[in-house]
Amino acid sequence: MTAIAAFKSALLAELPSLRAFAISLSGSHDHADDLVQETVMKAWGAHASFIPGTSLRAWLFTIMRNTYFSQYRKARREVQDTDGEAAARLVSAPAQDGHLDLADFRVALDKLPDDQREALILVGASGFSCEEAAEICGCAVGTIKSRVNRARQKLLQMMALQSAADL
Amino acid sequence: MSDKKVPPERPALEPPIQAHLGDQLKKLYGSILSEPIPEKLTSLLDQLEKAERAERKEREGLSGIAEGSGDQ
Repeated sequence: MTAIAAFKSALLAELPSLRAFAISLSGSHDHADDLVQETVMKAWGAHASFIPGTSLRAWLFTIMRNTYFSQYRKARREVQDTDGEAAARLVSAPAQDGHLDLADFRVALDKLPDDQREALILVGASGFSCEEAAEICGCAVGTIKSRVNRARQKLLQMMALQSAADL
Repeated sequence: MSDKKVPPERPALEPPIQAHLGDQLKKLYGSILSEPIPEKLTSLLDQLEKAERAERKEREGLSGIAEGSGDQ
């Protein structure tokens, strides 16, 4: 009984991270919540295959990305948020310095190829090492590193940040 | 900046820019992390827990009956 409660509270604690990863994968809050829901249900059903002592977050992220790439990727293409919309919902702070900047960033991030955005999020925001990210994505560490690099380059191009002088 | 050691088509990012990108990414991600969790997600976990407890109870009940009938 306590094992159920413990697993449940561990999952609860990971919900914010799962949502954040889902939103960055799917580019939409609505799809993201469906994706989290499905991930949670799969994780619950597969509880026995989780190895205690390993990273629950990495395990959950792996389930989520497999679900996303097998089922949701198509939907993302079909119903893509219009550029400003996703950004506007994400940035709730009142207009101030940095506001537009962050909204622009969100739009640029959304335009990255799926694999590059994913790698950048995992390593640059979710706090995974390149090794962990490689495991989650089922690819080589070098692949993650080059995806992160390409993602950064592309973001900069899109944001038209050519040099530090622009900052 | 310094000498052109890097290929022109893919210049290494200048550290301040890289740091700026990283900050933006973390800010964005952080803003999502701090959003309230939709109730349908937390209630999903409640449902899953309830269902599993009920299922276990039923299983225990069934095995109890099976043992009971085995005794007869």
